[in-house]
Amino acid sequence: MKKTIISIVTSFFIVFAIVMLKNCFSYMLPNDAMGIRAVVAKGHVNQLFLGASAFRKGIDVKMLEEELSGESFVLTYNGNQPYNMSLELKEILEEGTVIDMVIADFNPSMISEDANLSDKRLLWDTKFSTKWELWNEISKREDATFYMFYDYFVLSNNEYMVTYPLSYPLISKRYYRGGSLDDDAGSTEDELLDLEVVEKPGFNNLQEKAITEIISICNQYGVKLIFVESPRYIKMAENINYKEKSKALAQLLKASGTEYYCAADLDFDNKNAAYYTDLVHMSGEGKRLFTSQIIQRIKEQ
Amino acid sequence: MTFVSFRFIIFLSSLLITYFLIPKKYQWCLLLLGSYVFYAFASPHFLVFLFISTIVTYICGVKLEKLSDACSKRLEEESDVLTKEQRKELKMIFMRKKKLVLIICLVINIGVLGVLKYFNFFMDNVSSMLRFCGISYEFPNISWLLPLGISFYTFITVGYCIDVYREMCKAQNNIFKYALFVSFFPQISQGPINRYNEMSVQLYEEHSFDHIRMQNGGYRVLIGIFKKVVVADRLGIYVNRVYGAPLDYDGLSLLFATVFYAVQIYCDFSGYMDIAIGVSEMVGIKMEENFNKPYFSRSIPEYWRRWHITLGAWFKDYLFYPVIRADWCKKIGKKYKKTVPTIIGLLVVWLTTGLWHGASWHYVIHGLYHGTLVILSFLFASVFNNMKTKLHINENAKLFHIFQMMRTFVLVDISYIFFRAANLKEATYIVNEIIFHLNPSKEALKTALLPFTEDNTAIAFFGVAMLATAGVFICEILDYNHITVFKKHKYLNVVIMLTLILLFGMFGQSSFIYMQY
Repeated sequence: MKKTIISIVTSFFIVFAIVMLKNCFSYMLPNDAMGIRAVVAKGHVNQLFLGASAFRKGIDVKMLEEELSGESFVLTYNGNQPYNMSLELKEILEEGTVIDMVIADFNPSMISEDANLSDKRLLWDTKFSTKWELWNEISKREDATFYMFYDYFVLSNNEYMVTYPLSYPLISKRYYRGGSLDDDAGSTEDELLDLEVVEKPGFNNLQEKAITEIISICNQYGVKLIFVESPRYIKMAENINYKEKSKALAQLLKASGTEYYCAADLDFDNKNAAYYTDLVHMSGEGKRLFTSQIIQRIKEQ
Repeated sequence: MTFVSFRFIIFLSSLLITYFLIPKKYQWCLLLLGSYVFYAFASPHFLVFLFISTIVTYICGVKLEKLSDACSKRLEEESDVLTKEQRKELKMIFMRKKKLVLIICLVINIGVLGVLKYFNFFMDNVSSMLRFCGISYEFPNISWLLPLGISFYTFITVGYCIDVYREMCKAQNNIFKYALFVSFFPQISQGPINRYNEMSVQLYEEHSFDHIRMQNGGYRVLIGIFKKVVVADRLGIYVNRVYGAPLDYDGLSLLFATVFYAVQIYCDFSGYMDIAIGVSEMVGIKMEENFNKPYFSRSIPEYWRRWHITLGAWFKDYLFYPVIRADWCKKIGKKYKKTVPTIIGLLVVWLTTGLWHGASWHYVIHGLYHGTLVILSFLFASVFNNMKTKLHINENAKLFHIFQMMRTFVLVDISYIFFRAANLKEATYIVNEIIFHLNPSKEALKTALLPFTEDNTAIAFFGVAMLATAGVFICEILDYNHITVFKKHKYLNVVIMLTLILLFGMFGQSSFIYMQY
């Protein structure tokens, strides 16, 4: 019986040790293709594109490299919301990274979200203090459970940790300076019209504060900040909740004197299904068109 | 409350502590109470069906026993008076009475199962037939949930009654003791389909605390949890995504999902059995094994002797033999060929096996597919043997064994397409895509892994799923070859297993596949 208890206690101790090591030191493992660590490793980035998967799928990093002077980097996490973006930006700048310009994702879909870990890669790339800050916000949610805590600190990224020597090179191959090298085919109108729009209404307080925080961090570090909306397919762009949130976000940025470009400001045909893989993400063709328009705006600065 | 939940850990811990603290003569009472609490947590509204089945079969069992005793008594008392013919007639009279009791028992039990499980299926098919005849009438569907474990406990109770009828066991006179046999919590939701003969003594005898037994049981529970939460539920994410919308995926993804499903269902079901058998061992009760490394089978009949063993044995004893020994079947055998009754028996068994799994045609196809393979292997056994001799195949060669195992796995896996698909249409689409549109290119391989997480971590997820699967099967290969390296280091195994469960368990989804049957 004694040996059984010792075995059980040993297991818990091993798990605790692994979890602590992972949470405190995972960010130290080499990663130069994508994520926060790759930005920090650069030391100086001229244009940092900061956002969610829509940005990753919508920005052609090779075009940025050809057309813009200096270093550009696309820093994206799936479902990245303003609150997470503010934490990411803070960690990068606190690490001493110099950034000239941040082109942030003007993403109305995300401003109604509660604090959330939408991409577990964020936990792999960030320091423990950032992780803890995000968890603090998540734990305030009414639906926060012990399982969420367990998933957040214990289970997340274990697969990546175990298969790191194999997974890292394979995943890195698909990215260059944070941008996806995939060149996805477009959809047809029927395919896109079949998809359902899921848009929550309202502006979450936390996200509102986070946008102000992003503006304040950029001011503090002397970084130029522009918000850019990647155009959604017409079916989504015309959703009433999406439109209202877009309007509210624009008002907030306008009030703070931050420069922004809405999709309507760009010459992008969001009725053309060939530019999209779904209602949010762009195809290779759409990506090139959108990137060229952003480049033009940046050059005008 | 399922076996993989905090609630169950608390339930089991409190039950075990109380079990070994109370006077031993009351242990079975605690098990009965615990079993009903367990069932009530999982399926409180359906306790009534469990009561009905228990009471009906209890009464029938007692009645059958009384009739048997009365018959024996009469024969004994009147042994000097009765002629051989009269004795035979007397036996027949009692036999008819017993048969009547058994039929009533079967009608009620199978009837409840039939109505709850097959009513909508039956009505849908009647509507289709009417439509075919030009009559447009839709029978209304009744949406009710299936009581937890009804297919299992119905078979357990019916098996008990048939055993009493056949005088293979004595009826239990204490209804509470009998209720424990039916509702014993490790077996209630997914089996094994235990026999009264094997369980009765153990269930009601007194058990002392034995730490070796506790350790062995606990270790078995850990193995089961590992299979369930690390392997089955991990692969289940991929399988559910692909089989949930098969039209959205290419042939390679569908092939992966089909192979993964074979591993998922095995680890899910055998994982449940490991937990059930382990928990049962902790309370001093040894249950029947339900799996014996089925994917190492070298033929389909062997596979069915290793997979869901207690269900196969149930069908053999209570359906196959009664069918082939029935007068009408014997007559057919005499008229045509001796093999015909066996084929009829096999077809009945496999059709029922298909239907037992669910009220849908794709389950029927799954059952008949296996039935056909079993019948073919039975009919052509001599042809295959001749072929092996002519081709100078060494039957004992390891390589040939591996070939046979792979062939059996492929045949079994094909059947899983029909088993897992939502309907026949989707199943045929999947078969078509796998056979005719399989494009194993590098690009297709990249996208084929995506359903795991739908982002770039899919490769890592896939890696862990493969490692865990390999772990399970390496242990089985070692066990198959009688290499006991793992048993020697039990404590180290506990540490490894528990660590892996805590770090890689998918604790979000707790229901087991076979719970729905």
